[in-house]
Amino acid sequence: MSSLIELSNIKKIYQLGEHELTVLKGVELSIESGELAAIIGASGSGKSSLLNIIGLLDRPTSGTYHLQNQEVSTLPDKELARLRNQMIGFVFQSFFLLPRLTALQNVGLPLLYRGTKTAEIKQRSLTMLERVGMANWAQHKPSQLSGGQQQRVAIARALIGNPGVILADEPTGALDSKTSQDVMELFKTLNKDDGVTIIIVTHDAKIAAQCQRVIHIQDGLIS
Amino acid sequence: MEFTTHFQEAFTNLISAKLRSFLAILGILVGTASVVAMVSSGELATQHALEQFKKLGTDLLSVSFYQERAEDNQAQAHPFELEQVKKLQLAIPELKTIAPYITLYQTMSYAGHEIEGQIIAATPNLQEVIKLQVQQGRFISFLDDYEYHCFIGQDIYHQLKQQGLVNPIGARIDLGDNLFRIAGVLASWPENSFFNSDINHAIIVPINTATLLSRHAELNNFVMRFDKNANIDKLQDDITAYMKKISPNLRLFFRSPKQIIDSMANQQRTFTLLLGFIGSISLLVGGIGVMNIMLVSVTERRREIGIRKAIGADRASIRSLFIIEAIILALFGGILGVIIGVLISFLIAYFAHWEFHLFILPPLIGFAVSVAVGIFFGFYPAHKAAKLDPIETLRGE
Repeated sequence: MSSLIELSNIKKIYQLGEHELTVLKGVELSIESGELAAIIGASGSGKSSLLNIIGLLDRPTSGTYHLQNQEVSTLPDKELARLRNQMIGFVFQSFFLLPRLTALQNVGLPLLYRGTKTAEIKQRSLTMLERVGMANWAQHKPSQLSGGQQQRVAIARALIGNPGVILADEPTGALDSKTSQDVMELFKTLNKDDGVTIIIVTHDAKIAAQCQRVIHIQDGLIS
Repeated sequence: MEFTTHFQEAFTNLISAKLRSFLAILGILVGTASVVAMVSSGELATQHALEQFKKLGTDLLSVSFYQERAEDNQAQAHPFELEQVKKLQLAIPELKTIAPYITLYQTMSYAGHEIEGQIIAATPNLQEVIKLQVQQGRFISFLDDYEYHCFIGQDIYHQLKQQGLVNPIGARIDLGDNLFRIAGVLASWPENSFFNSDINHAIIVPINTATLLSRHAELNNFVMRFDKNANIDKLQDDITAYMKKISPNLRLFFRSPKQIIDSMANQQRTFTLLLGFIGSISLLVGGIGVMNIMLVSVTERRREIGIRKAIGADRASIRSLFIIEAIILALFGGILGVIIGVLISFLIAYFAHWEFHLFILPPLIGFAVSVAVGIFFGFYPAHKAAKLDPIETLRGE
């Protein structure tokens, strides 16, 4: 039980009126620290549900989830919020930057919820923007940035809190192939140079092929 | 840290939707403005009322009276005469000064030009009781007695000036069929509700000349000044008893500063209640406006809420983000409302010729109430935002 993420017999059942919809049917999965893994599966395979559970946005109906050896599936909401803040960095398909904030402010947001001092937030946000090659756009609003640039800012936001794992949900889904590749290169660099654990959910085999490990999910089970 | 940033964010947010924010705060603005205006001008009115009596004193009583004619007309009339006034003073030891006076209306003119005003036939004591100031010449003295001397108020003086009279002392004016010599001009007299007549608009003559001016002149008023701390209510009873003994058919009407202040306070309370009610209703409507706009804001920012939750915001911080926004909105309305309210009370004071003071309490109440409205009506939308499920808000393009 020394894995970073240890899922055991995870089930997720949605109640739809009188019917039950079993989305995850007992997932067994462990992810080690420092992995670059892809979760690949068709739509409806349950990969989004799995990602939500790993990302602590949702709880499994049954099964256990150990994150750094801590059972997290039964923690209260407030505790989950705190863990999301410290352990998880999300990267979304459509970037999800806050439109009214500058790139710099967007990057600093996770630290804000930790109560970090303003000056330190600013300093670290700048460093992080430099890291993803966006330092020159610090004062730009998301609407002034291209898709690839926005995704870099989003990755900086995911990284700033030194999370245990980066969860990227179709991170290249809204980008053209050239930009997609740039983003993938960034992920690979972060993984190789800094040992960041990255889980990428995708349906794009080309993206998955670039990861050390490919996890196939089908009909709610890891195959 | 989080709090100050929430504050900044709320601010940017509201500014980015200027018109909407402004419309949302209108209700609060009107509510606060009316609360502030009403409390402020209420205070100003009370101050003004008290101001009258600060100069005049409150140890005063005024009596008007007349003979009630007996129905069969058989009963002998026993009018209350000037002579008896002196006896009254002896009978009531707390009575310091008594000033009987008779009000008369006669045609008055100077050099053929009619003068508008009233004649008051009085004794020298009037000066002390209602605090008259002499601007030129002198006031009635006991030596005047039956002399055709008169003393004019400021308005009368101005009327004479318009007729080209530069130096009024010694000038003669016609009162009825008699010619009176002006012996004094009174300084402008602050009108008050205690003394029935407006001195500025009056020509004062020695009381004994009243019978020369009109056959029907009859003593019907006096004003009294008592020792400090005299019990006015008890004295009122004593005076009534004394006068009824002499003249059983007398009808008496008393007026005291205390009565006047009480009735003003009463009026003020009714007024305050009414305006307070209006103010509360507009604050309620304003609060609903704030709630409405916050609900719209929550709906529009579902995704933002989801993102914030995903990166670690818990319910409490989402809630405080929206409550702070509601408070800023309400407070902004409150500040504008306080400014407008103070402005309104200033205008009221200006047009009512009251002295304007800036009271601290009404604006404070205004701020406090608007913040309370913000918290109260901002809570539900904020709670709704905090409860949103991040998965649902982040799902789907």
